[in-house]
Amino acid sequence: MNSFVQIVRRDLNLSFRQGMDSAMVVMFFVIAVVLFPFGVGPEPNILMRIAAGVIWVAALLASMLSLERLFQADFEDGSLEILVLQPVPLEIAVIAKITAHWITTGLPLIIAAPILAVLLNMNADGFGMLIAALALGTPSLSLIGAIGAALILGARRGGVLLSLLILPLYIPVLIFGVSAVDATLAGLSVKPHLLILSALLLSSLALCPWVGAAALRQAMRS
Amino acid sequence: MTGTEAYFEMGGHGAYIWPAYGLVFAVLMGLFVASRRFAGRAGREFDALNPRTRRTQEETDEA
Amino acid sequence: MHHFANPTRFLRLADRIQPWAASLTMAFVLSGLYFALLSSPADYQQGETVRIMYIHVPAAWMALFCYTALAVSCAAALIWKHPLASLAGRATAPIGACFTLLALVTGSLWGKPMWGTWWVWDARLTSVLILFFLYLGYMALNNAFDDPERGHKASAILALVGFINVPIIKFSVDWWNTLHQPASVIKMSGPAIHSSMLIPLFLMALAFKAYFVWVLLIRMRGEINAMKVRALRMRQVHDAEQNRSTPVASEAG
Repeated sequence: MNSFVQIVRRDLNLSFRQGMDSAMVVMFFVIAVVLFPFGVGPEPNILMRIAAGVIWVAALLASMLSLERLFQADFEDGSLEILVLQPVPLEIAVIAKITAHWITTGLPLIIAAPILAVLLNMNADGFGMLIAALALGTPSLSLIGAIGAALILGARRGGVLLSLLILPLYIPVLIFGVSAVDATLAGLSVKPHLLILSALLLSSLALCPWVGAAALRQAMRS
Repeated sequence: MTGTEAYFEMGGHGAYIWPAYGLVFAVLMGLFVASRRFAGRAGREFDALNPRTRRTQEETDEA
Repeated sequence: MHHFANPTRFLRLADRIQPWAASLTMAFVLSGLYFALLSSPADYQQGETVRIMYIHVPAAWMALFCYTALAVSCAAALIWKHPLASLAGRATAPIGACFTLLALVTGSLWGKPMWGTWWVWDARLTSVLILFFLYLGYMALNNAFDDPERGHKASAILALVGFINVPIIKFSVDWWNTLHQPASVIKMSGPAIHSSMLIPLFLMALAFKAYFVWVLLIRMRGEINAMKVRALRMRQVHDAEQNRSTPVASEAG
């Protein structure tokens, strides 16, 4: 547990010292969402209809931005080798790094989302559910993304490759995240959608650290 | 309308059925040709690099 | 099993199987086409378009079968670290991707006259589309590294993660209410379609399977030779470097 906190703190420190990481993610998120009223026209009813989907897609892309660097910097400067050699299981280190990634990208996205929902003319009833769905969904995104980030270590054109690998796996989270918000706005029961989002979170929490650690070991060995 | 024409019409759905069959044929044929070419190229490169196996390799290429 | 894990022995076995696979493919394609296009009745509900089923359904079966084969060979590659298993995965992926693409396109050509639309975003279609992306991702990741060994390992892990999608595709028509019709051939209570349609369906399925074996063996031969070429090149470079470090040897060479 101690080393878990240590790794999280170290990654957060690094991210804050290099600065702007979280700010860049949020800026990308805001700009990507703001593009849509220009693309589909400023008609309030259309924007209201697509608000949840647009915010979710933009959040998905934004959380992928910093994913490439999740293990890359440590891989290049050799600190990943130290992590592998430490007595602490590598899986714990992977969870720690994912937690740090979520705090620097997922959390700011959740905070920024309601403001964007206002810009897209979303009904205020949906705000709470949007935040809840993002809170359940973005950790899954970081967890699933960590697998991709570990797999592309040392690859050519890793960033583009990462999006090709990870975006298809993001689709379930996107579907149920959006349908939770849409169900609230339509006055239907949100329970099944939230349950599936939680199931996705729990299963990726159980699987992704192990797969990510296995991928990291493969990357270090060769 | 003659019998063959009616056959190719497929009850008005010929425009969907024939392209479907044609595409399957084209894609599977293309993959087959590409695989043959890939295997042939790899085999030739191997022969060029390794004179020891040249004789046996040529025999299998003929087959 | 380990008996045929030796590349030379595998190639000898492949030489023996390949003519059989080729002639079986031809025989099944010809007889399948005869039943599918000439000697089977039009469906009372779907009319002549039912003939697309004889290629669409086998292609979809093959899409899932190839991914399962890919996942199995990737698991074998990761567990037993045998190079032939990685090569089998590498050889399977393009074939599976082609079948997935064909299942999508023929389904689209079937959907237009039946549902009045080329595409609907229902669970079955979407999950097969994801399967196609997984094949593409596997191939892209496999080729993305300078060290092929690293590419094999990384893409094997990806293929295993993506295997979650296979049961989702299989059961998507049962779990969700979709436009796509539920399974009618493989059911506990026996097939729900008439035997005049089952014959061309199974003949085409066998044709695709024989084609898969045939092309897989061709691709495996290519992959094995490419691996040997890489090993020989590495040795040449290695030898050249050693010669350079010892001047006497380089004079002789």
